[in-house]
Amino acid sequence: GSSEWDQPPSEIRPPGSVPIKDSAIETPLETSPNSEGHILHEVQIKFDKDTPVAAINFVLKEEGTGAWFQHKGGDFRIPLSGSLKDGDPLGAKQGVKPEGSNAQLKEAVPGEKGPSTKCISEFYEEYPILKSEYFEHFVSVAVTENSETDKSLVEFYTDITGDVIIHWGVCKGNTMTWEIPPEPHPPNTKIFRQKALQTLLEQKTDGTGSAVSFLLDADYSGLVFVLKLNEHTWLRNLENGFDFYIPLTRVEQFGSTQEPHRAGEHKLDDKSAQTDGLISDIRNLVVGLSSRRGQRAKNKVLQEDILQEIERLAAEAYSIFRSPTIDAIEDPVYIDDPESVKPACSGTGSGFEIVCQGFNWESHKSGKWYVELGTKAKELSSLGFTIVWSPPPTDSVSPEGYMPRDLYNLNSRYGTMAELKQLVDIFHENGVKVLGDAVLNHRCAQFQNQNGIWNIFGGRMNWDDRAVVADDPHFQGRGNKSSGDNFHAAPNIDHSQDFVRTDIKEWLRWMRKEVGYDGWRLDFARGFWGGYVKDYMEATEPYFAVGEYWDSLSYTYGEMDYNQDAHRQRIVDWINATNGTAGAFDVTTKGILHMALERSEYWRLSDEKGKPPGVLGWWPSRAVTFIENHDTGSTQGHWRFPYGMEMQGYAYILTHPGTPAVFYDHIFSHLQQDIAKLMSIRCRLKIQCRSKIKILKAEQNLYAAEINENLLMKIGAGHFEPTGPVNWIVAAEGHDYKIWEAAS
Amino acid sequence: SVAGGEAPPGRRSRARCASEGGVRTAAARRQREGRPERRRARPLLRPGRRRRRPRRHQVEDVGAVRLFVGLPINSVTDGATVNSARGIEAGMRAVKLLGVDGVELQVFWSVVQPESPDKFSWTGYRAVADMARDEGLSLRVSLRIHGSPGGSVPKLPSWVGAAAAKDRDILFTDGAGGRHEDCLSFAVDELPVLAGMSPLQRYEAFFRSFVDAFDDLFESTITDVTVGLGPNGELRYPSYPPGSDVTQFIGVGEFQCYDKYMLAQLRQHAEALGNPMWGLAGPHNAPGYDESPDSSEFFRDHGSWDSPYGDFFLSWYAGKLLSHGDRVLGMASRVFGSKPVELSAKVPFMHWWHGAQSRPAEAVAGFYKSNKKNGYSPVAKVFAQHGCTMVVPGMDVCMNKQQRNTGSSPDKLLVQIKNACRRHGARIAGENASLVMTHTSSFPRIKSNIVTAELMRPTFFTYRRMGAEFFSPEHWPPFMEFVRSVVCGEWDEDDETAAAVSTYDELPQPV
Repeated sequence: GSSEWDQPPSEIRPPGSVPIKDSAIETPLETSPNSEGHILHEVQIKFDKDTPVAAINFVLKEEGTGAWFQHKGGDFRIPLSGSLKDGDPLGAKQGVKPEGSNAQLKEAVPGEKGPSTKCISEFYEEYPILKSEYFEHFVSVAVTENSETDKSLVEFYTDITGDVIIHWGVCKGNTMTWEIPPEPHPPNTKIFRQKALQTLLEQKTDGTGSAVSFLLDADYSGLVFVLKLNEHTWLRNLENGFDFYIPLTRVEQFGSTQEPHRAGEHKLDDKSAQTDGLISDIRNLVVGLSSRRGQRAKNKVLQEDILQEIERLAAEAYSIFRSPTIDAIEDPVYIDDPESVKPACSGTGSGFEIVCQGFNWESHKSGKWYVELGTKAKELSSLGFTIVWSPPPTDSVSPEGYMPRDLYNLNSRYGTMAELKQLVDIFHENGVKVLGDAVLNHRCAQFQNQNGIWNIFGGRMNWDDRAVVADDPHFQGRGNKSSGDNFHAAPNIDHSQDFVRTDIKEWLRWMRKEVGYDGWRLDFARGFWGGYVKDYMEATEPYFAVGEYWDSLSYTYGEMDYNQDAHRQRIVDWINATNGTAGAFDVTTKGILHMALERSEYWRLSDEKGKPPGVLGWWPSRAVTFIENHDTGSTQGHWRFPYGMEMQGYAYILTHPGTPAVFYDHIFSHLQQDIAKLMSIRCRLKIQCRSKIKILKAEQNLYAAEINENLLMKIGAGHFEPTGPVNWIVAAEGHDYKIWEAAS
Repeated sequence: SVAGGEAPPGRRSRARCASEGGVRTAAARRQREGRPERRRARPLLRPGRRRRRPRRHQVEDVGAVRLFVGLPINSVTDGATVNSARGIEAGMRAVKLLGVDGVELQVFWSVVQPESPDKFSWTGYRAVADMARDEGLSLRVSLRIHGSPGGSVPKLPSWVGAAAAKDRDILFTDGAGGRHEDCLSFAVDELPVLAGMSPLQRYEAFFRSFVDAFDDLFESTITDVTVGLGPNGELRYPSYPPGSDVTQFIGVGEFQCYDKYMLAQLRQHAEALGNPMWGLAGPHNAPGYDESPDSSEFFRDHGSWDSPYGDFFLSWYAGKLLSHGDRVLGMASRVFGSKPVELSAKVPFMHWWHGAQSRPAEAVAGFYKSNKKNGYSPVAKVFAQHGCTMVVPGMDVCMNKQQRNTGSSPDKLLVQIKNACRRHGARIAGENASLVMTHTSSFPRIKSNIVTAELMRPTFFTYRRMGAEFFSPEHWPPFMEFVRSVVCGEWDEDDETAAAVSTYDELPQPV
């Protein structure tokens, strides 16, 4: 019952089948005319009933066009195994018929025919498939003026066959109001709601199209029209989504009034089926829609589009002009610490670390996560992870652990303290360091004060309300004001108090010793001053430490700014306050990747100095890059990475400087092999958090960079091929990403 | 810039498609109001016709005002590269879509010829001009031969600075000996003080090099050339304190006639008139830069300015400015005469102290005419003779905005300038003094000044300038509204009932 595709065993493959990768085969259908004279395409698949096949999955592909046909956006599926149990039909036969008024499907495809041996009743299902095709048509409009009669001869001609109706009106002066010209109207004309005329074009006898011509008083300023094929199919100007406009008064300026003047020829792309799309090439049109705008065009929607575009451009210009120009700004010198001035504890590990976030938002549910994660330790280690980030371990009000209560009670929904210690041991045996998730910003109280406010703590750290910051009225703290932002769901701890810091340091040291944690992931680091973090890190000397400093990127007019220097500056400021004893998650890079990938704006991936635009561009050794975590993704999805583009994200962070962190959900998904490949490349080419990077391309649909002088990577749909003296060989490749390594 | 050397193609085409709206608007507006699509330079009046009173402008003469937006003053600072190129590009497209006709580019002598009199570097400015061309925008080029306040652009070419270091007197000098490092004295216009050539010859070489470098754009993109005649691009003396920001100074100012060349000419002039004593120095009893005109004798009501000496000095002082303007404009009209561009030059808009009889701020800047007549009149006459449009940079200044105690009168000054131009047949054009950030009546003020039925309607208006503030959420929305109100007339939100779409409202939406 797995939805994963497996290649069918070779004995059941019909003749002519070609294996595709290792998960599918392609089988050409045989054609045969049926009784009604239609061409049918079919294939028979025969297999023994003992063959262990749970289901047949398939999609259809049209050879000529390469178009794919799916069932409701997914695979067609013939369940086989379930049917044996309950006596349902075993075999299956599917007929697939085209549907849709204008569908041009030339093939009807009866699907697989199951074995009929044991089958009592036949399984027969029909699925509709839809195919749309584009046709290019044109409509030409010619206006000839006759000065003697004071009338214009208007001639329409189109190569569209079948009934074609022009739905039209005229306008006077500067208005764009549709009016109906006085009678006589052309033959085969109906009045539509007193607003427009609908004139059926006459079909040419030779079947080459339809045409109509009629006389019109010359005093109209313009003629407006759309084409109608049937009740569901209207053709209008795809360029602006509105009517065609033929100016009448300006014709004189372009030629003698005696000569027929071709006012304009429209090319139509007739997208059949349900849409009414229509492309008009208005380049030849003497007057575009726009000339009417000065005359108070009513094209509200178009105006809105233009205004939106204007605002977008203005926002872009704003963000560029607002950022200090290159010579004005002092180079933020985070070129990274030379070995000599490395802080006593740098919290960066070896520099070659790859972090695995070892849980998601649901991990607490089984109650046995520590055990379950332990079973994966070997696999994670062999994939190349050097650090695993384990969930918050303490007694907590919320099952996920982020509302800690009794800090010395390490029995949680993830398992017991003993299981936790065992987990850490297992990882250590596999050569993987373990980070504890330390929630230091806030703590849930166990007791109420005299006002009934929960702000008295219990357990071994039995603080009272003096340990709570004073500026959150909900918790009536008696401490000092918070040194950072407040997390409003629980009492925020006042780290400025000596006794608080002393207790926290003792607790962290205890966890280092008792549990065996090698380092920390610091929750909600925005909540208190980085200087206190420095204190804690120096007291516990973690092998690796990373803080979560997550706030919003810069937006203008709802548009993410190109320049996110202010955002990364705040993160860098925090790292600085910790004296570089802890790194921080590179939220800036995640945000910019979102925009770059989602909207194909890869130019965002180079800042104005040609450096990566996130924290990793400024202080790579302290940047922990990631694309997803338990908050942004998982079942919470607060800020989910663009769907289906995860590998592009990993192709970026796993090749770039900074320390990449891979999310549990991604490791144990269909992405595993691809991620593993990238990780092995990172290891093989010795890319580390301080590796040098040179951005080669940052364009609309392409980003390419050279890292360490031995790796080239590109993401985006744009074409990129390495050049130069180095012999680059492809190391990994996937949808919209590609990685090369220098041949040694 | 690495990231944005060129606009990503996807975005460009999107803008193109939508831009039809804006593209044609400006053209259509002119069409509607009977203005030809392309302006040709007014033919220069031939000497023989000079004495004839030029035909006065009629309303029909001048079509709808063309709207320009000024590009950042420091768009190019090293001659070769465009600063914030991607911002400029996005900005251009935004204003284009909005319906603006063109952009204005300040081209500095100091940037184009920074190091030697033999080498011009046009690459940077050329790139900006190409951007404007690619956006289908008109380009108004302001050629600047003097420095700019703010310090983002070099004041003078370094080799000119070197010449000034050798002979400090080629710089404008005030009574206390303060030198204007950004401004060569008008008295040396025709003296060979710059590596064997005169400043005027150097200016001409600069202008001609510009024509050569941009020759192909004159038919398509460059519609206007504004000739910088003095400090801040204006025809004026640098009457503000040396080193200060001319755009911020609203004091009376001081006379700048104390370099040895000016003094020599003054002496000569006094001697010729038989009053050698008057030629020994400038007025000894004029107020200091920031002093009130009443604080000393010269500019008081019925003070020395109103005496024969005062008239002698002020006439000479204003005459020197005028002949400088005449020289440079004459040269410019020779250089640009064959090009289809509208030639223009800027005058100062010194509305402060306009209420005082002596109009002291105007007088020290060089605007004076005997017998309390309009000081802008002789200037307008010179402009008209060269077919040069007068750019008035204060179309946004409102009466109530100014401190009353400076005797400010922007309205009266504007009327005075218009009268002078009408009398002599010079066109006018407008600019704003500053970004309209707070004063909400400034946009209506601009609009009433430029969309007007009166005789002296500006031929173009340039709103200055693009930059961070310009695109900020505080400024951009009201600016957009302003442009739309000028471009499209009143925006009618309700008048949607007759929209064409409604005639086939059963139309299914594209999926």
